Amino acid sequence: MGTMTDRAAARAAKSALAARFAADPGVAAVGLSRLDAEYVVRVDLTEAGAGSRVPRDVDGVRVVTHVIGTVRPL
Amino acid sequence: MLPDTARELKARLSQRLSEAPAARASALGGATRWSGIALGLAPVRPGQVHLAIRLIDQADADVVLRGLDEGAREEVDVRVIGPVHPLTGPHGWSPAELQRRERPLRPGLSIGHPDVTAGTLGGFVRRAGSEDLLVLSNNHVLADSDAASEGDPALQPGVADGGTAADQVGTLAAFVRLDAGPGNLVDAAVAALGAGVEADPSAFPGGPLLSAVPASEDVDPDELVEKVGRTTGHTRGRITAVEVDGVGVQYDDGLHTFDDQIEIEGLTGAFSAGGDSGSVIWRSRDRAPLALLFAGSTEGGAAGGGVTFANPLGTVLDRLGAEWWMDPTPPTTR
Repeated sequence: MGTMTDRAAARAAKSALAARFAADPGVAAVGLSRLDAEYVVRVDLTEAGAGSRVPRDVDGVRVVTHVIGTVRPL
Repeated sequence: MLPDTARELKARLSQRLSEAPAARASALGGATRWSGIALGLAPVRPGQVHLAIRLIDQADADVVLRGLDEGAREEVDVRVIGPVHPLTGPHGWSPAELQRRERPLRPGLSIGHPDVTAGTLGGFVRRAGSEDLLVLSNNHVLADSDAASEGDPALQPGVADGGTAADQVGTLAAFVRLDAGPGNLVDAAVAALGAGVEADPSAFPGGPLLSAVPASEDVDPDELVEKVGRTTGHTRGRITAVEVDGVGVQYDDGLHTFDDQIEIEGLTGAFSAGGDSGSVIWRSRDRAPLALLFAGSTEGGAAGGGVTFANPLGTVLDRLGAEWWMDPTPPTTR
């Protein structure tokens, strides 16, 4: 990777991942987060097993996963 | 003077002032007026302090200084600070207080459509060309997830908190319909206040929020945020993600997917729970209103209470044709 990822680069990677997982019930959401002072793509999972389908990076942008379960209106 | 000398002087003065009010004035030189005093040490340079004397009224300064000898008077820091009030303000932010009937209306209170359990009154807005105040919350709180009609009642408190027709505070004025497909941006609705219903739009924990709403692209991950809601009261959290797409939310009538959302985790527990929907979320560092809380997950978050999702407030206002209203003056009637 070498250089710090800026928000625009992370946004492009996020859009690609969001489109790729739009129909995957194991993926709850895809957004931009920050890790070690650089932007990363955060993929929220409904269940841990879906993590194996998510790449570790997209075009040099790091991808992190978190299990959040089901999302409901509050 | 040396700190120990100041402590001695402070103790001596405290002792004299602790006597009965009438005796105090007499002991301090025969003055007839006395209203209150606080004593402490004020550092002036390393190893040296002045005796700090804080007074409610200038007249008290004469009373106190007359009780000190000439040398000591040059070593005191006397300031008139006026009456001291508790900072908690008149409002309570506990769930029990937020779930009861309360007027004037204020952010954080229980509210809802008669066919909905209860949600949260997020704040107040105005629509273009009108000075009438409207209550801001979610579609699924005020408009029963598209099942309601404009003109339906808004109850405070909501039905789950004992609200009945007698607790009507307004009528559903507008809502953004939930799309069955992807691409929803907001879960939002507004209710017009009924005639004579008072509102206190600035009554947030800690005081008013900013009037300006930041653009969603100016909201950053890791920012600390707060909200006040009907179920969990005043809580603090951290933004864990922004521009979040494809958020699949399981409503009663099926899955609705939202884009460009903000994700938050609680700092010491859950940031939100069922019934907090409709809360306005603000940024702690500058009190800028950022988002409208509407959904949450069952797992995740650093504190294990799940993560919260919220619509960017700027998008909410755009879709409703409304502007955020923050009135710094006391309660008003619309």
